[in-house]
Amino acid sequence: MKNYIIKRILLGILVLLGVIAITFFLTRVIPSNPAAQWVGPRATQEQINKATIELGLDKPLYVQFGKYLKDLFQGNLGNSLRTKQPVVKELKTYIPPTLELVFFSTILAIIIGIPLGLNSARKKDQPLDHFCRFFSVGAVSLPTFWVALFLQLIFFRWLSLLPLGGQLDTRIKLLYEVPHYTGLLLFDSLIDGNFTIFFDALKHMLLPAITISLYPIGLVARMTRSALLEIIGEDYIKAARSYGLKEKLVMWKYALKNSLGTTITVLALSVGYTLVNTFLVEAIFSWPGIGSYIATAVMSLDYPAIMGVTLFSACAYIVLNLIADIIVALDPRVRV
Amino acid sequence: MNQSQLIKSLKPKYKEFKVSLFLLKKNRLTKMALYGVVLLVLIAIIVPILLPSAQHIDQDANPQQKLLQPSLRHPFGTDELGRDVFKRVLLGTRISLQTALIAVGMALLIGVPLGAVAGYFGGFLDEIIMRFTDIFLGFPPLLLAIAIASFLGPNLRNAMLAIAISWWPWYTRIVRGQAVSLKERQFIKASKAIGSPPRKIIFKHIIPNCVAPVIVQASMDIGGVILTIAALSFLGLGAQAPAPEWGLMVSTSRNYFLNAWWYSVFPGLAIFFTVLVFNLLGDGLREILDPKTRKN
Amino acid sequence: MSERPYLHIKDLKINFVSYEGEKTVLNIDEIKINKGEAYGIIGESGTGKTVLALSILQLLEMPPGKIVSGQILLEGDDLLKKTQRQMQKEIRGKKISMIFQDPMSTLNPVFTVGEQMIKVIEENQKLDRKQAYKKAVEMINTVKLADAERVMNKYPHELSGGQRQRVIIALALSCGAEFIIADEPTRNLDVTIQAGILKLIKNLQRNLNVTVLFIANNPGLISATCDNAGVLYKGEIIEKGTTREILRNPQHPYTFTLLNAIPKNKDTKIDLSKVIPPNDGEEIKEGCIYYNRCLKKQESCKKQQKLLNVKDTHYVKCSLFREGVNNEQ
Repeated sequence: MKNYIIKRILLGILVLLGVIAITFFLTRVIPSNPAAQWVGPRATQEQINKATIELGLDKPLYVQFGKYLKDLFQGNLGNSLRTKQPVVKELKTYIPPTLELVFFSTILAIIIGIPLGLNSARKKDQPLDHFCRFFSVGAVSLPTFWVALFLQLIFFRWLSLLPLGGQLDTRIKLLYEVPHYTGLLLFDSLIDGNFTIFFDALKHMLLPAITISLYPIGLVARMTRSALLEIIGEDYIKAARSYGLKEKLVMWKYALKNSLGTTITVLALSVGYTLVNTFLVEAIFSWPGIGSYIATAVMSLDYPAIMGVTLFSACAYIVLNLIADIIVALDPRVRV
Repeated sequence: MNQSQLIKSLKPKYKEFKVSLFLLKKNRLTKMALYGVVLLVLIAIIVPILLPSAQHIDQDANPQQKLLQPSLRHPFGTDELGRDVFKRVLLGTRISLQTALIAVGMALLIGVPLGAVAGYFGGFLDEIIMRFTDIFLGFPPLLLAIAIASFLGPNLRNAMLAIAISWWPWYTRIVRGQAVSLKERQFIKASKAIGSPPRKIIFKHIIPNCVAPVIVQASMDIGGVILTIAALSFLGLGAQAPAPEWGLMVSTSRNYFLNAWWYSVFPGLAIFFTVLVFNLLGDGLREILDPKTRKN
Repeated sequence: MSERPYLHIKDLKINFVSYEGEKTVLNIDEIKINKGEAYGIIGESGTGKTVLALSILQLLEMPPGKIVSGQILLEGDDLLKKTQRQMQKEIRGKKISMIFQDPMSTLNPVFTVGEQMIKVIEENQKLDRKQAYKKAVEMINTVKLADAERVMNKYPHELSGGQRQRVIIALALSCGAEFIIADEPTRNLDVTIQAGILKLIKNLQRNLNVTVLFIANNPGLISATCDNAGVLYKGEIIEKGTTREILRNPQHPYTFTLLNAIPKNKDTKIDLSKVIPPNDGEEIKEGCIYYNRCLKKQESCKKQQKLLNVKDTHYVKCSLFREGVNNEQ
């Protein structure tokens, strides 16, 4: 057990270093003229020369990599070409709204995906199961960016129920002072006790959250179903039923707790999907997160910004997977 | 010689093929998905031959007919340049299928030999190759493709390359697992015993025997790859205008969709249908070939 | 015999559906179990003993299982007609509970023993948690597990096989049911522990007046615990009667060979020629199911076999009996 965890952490660190090395190769080795690319197409020769020295491109590769690592640990990801601001500073303002969105849709994935998978497993090969399987394959087959547009069409254009995009209504922004403690708007407005802002923020979050939660819902439902199908066949479930325990208790406690290992692993994976799906969706909903940030960066080929988001997302994903694996390994009752 | 005949006779036989066929016939959804895939392949082959003119934007554009509602003449309406959306959606089939196929093919080309080498030789080489796959899988899906595609420069060829680079580790893992178990089989041992070089064993015995699981995985991946290409194109990292690529069409439609719903809805439906059909087929294939579900 | 039996199984036929078509796994003409008695079912593995146990509780997976015909009457009430919900509310744990055979897989690995016992007691005896805890400790003491409070806090994987089997028995008993199905409760245990558990079941039956259906692959176990018994072969009851009659005077060639497979004392050696040969004879579609393995087969065996009365309550399903071909002992 202990050995496994130490090994897992070491592997996590290795993967982290590997991911950093890959980004290094992408920015410094693959481009024919990294300095020119780093400062953008409109830079003067003087700026390029300056960047060459700043990035250490005149030195051997291993020195460059050392410097790259050092910059990373000091939190220096370069300046955005578009805004000329340090990327780290910009990330700090863009990350919380994305986290809020990812969090919200992960919750949706849990409260919809798990019951869906559970009932599907319980009613195997019955209409509900067919529906659930079709739904979960369908959900992972939908182009997220298109779903975003489609939902806007329905709920904004045709039904006029929900706003087109943004985080808050402009009027509300003018009327109230928008709280800013953690950057998580829903949370901050609750701290202030400002329910006008809270409900407006919730309304704005609904469409983007539903859009990006479809994929994880499908994924969680599918994995829960297959894990439970295996568990339902086990003797201890038959035994639990033979003792006359209520079906609800048998499924929701006896069976589900045994599938927890799978669920945790899948959730880590699905957060990864959700995070990247925000890249496709946030811009459509004018959501001020890293998704919008990287989408704009891609359009204007703002390399430092692209790298910043890539590094952040990859690190978050690695850490998340690491935590999931350790939780699963730590709890002797949870088995994969 | 007799020796090679002996080795052949020791190879695992696929007598389970018949059972698989039986299961496929029973599984209605998978069968329909198979028909869907066949239909898409036919469209991809035939439509570009039938509609050569539509591939040239200047010939097809008709500014007088821009953003027309769906009608008998234009079943999916027209776009901002007056082009028929229906024709363009049909034309897009080839782009999507072709790029997905090439991307998966490239990923296989990298992943399969690496997996076979890792599994066959084991030891230090295995360790290094597998840690490499761990690193590539450390990126969340799609992210690496976005990063690579943006650094290589936005076009369809680079998008395919980016997908291949972020996808190969999956195949390496599968093939390695297969190779590790194949290595212990009689026919490989026999082949080793008569002095075949490792290169020959890997390419003549190990890789051909990994075909079945790899094909299943690849068929399951095609849907995801098509989705990824569409996503990259949507971000502006894949196909470039005026290519009739579905993701790109949805992306362009963003400026008009609130008043011309058909412009974004139909290309999106095309992506959905294609990915769905491939995913259903892949899902069905896995269920049919999985010994665990097979028993019941 | 005028009295209505407690459990009455009539013409029960259960098939399994697979790709090769349907196959009959259980085909029982009649089993009657009286209240308060211990009834034994003997049979080798794969004869449908567990299928029988599970179908009484309607826990058989369907598909692949399929009930073709028959009734399982509990005090005159057909269990097969009940819905799953009714079974849960009225029968399982309330009237019937079951001791499963595999101590390794019968306990839920993610809950402590105590948690699992308390849940069962809360459900079936309508006690609150505190009382349920007390009761659980009491039950663990009943099955002679030392240090009950400590066992309560353990996860199944922290217990040995024998301890787990006792916990499983405690679980089945703590339902408070009046009828217990014991499906090879000692199958995976050491001989010394086996004896203890047999004694335990027997005592419980006597002291608490529970009815027991005892399933085993070893006639010796049956003789120690049961009043009446039936021999199951390929899903059919081929001989039944009092345990004494069956063990002392077996009439079916299968029962005979089954008993011969056990050494009677340390001096006798097993006569291998009288022990059942492997399946090597021809299969026949109708007639005796034991035909292909039987050492005494004759033409008449190819006809449909009926249960014939030997004496009193002793029945055998073998046409050789009527023809006077006595099984020499």
